Amino acid sequence: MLGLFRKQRRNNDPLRRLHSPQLDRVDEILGINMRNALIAKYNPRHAIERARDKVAAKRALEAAGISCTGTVAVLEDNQQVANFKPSRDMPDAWAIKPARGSQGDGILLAVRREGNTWFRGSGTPLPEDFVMKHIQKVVDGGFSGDSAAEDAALIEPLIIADPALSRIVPEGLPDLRVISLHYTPLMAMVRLPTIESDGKANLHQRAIGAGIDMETGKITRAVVKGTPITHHPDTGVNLIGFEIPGWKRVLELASKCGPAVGLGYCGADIVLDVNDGPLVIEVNAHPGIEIQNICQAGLKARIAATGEDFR
Amino acid sequence: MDRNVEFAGCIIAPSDNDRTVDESLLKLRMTRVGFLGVLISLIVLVLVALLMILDTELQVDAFPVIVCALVVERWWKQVGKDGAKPAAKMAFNTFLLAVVIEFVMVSHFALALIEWSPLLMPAFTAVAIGVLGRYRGLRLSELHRFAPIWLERRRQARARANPDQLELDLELEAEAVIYEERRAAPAPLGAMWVISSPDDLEPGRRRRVPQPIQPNAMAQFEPKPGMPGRPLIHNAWVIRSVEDV
Repeated sequence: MLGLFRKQRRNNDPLRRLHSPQLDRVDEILGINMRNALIAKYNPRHAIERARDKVAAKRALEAAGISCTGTVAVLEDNQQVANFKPSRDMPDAWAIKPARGSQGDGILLAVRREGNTWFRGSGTPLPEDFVMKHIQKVVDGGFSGDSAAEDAALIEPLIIADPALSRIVPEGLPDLRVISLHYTPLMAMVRLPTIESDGKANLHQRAIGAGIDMETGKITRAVVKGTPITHHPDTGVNLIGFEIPGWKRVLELASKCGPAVGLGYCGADIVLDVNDGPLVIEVNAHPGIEIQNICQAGLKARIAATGEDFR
Repeated sequence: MDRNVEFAGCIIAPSDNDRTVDESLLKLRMTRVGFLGVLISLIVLVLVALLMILDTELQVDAFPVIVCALVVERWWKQVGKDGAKPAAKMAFNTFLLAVVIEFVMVSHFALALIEWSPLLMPAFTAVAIGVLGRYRGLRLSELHRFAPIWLERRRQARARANPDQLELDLELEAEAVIYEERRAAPAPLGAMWVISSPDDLEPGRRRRVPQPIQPNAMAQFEPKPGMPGRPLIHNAWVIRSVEDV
């Protein structure tokens, strides 16, 4: 009742009538201030901590029955590191990640193995002692920001991308970012690595960001460093209209991720594995707002459509 | 901000010497605590050396030294992550901001206010943060960042309001695309006709590339009696039909 009264009063507000359509369009965009307010409102501190820790987030996701990437080992202290032997315990292709790392820092990938030496995608050899030193550095918190004095090393089998996606990129693993509020996916994009981004799906390093239509799962727009493009610059494949395989499953996973970790507003990072289909690799408690520029749409308008009151 | 921190930070962080020191320390593969410990010791040495060489009033206090160590560590991490140029740009922006803050803090106005009442500055800061902290709208930088969305929306709205304008916009876009395609097209080879399709054989579509004429005693330009050679008809290909291609 009170809400109805407020709405009625707002509609009759003469000042509101003076608002130009231009101002309404400005109002569609979610700025960093409003995003932080949403996070403060919907993401409790303990859930943010859980999402920040990849190992803890993975446990929560698996407990909720959400498909995640596999785990080879989790090394949480020096004793576990001392007992770990890569030549005995690691597969031929793997990924080492700091549990509390961000922006891809400290991630080491190996694509093949010859004896006790692994090789990066670029062909650089990774001897066993180098791998051990990297793990030690991860556990010492060398990639975990200034506040962390220790961390855990998460070792996962290397994900092989779905051929439908891998054929449009020259190298690296494309991933999907879906922003959700509670159980509602709001906006999505796919990040496509380029040669210039060194195979990393990082928009700051000149990877391609491509906006996806939420209904159809088709790419509607692609951007690299603010410049709209239609074809992948390295493979020449037309990106516009490309349909993401298993889109419904992607949306289903994305809608469950936040509540599983305890987050109301979150960004789920999802990869498409050749065997297992969509898998969640990470849940972000502070998803960026650049996705609005990629999709050319405002997040605030979509959040408002779910019934959120921004006053 | 402490003046010593700014001074030492700007000298130490971007210098090649300390970058080398930092890189050498990274090669030792120490833990982060040990790394910072060694780095702080080195920074103390550098600051003391500066103190002795420049004969300045630089103070080697704990706070500036630790901040310097963090600045050096952050600098090297940023170089490793984004490359030297973006890291240098970031360091320059930080330095510029530090200089601006320094000038504000030592301005006569600020000093007079602080002298008048030491509580005034923290009280003003609290009020300012209280007001600004409640602001949920877009930042100035975000107006620029998201301008392409509004511009596109405006174009769409204009197109809906005036369909003729949409056609005009589409024509302009098509012209822009043609111009870009022409720019990207490879330069035609010299002394040849460029024929991409049978349509190019139409009389109006023929495009003849200027052919450089190089005088040659044996060439057909100067007929010499008794010399073997082709009949002198044309200095280019003669194409009369599709079959000639």
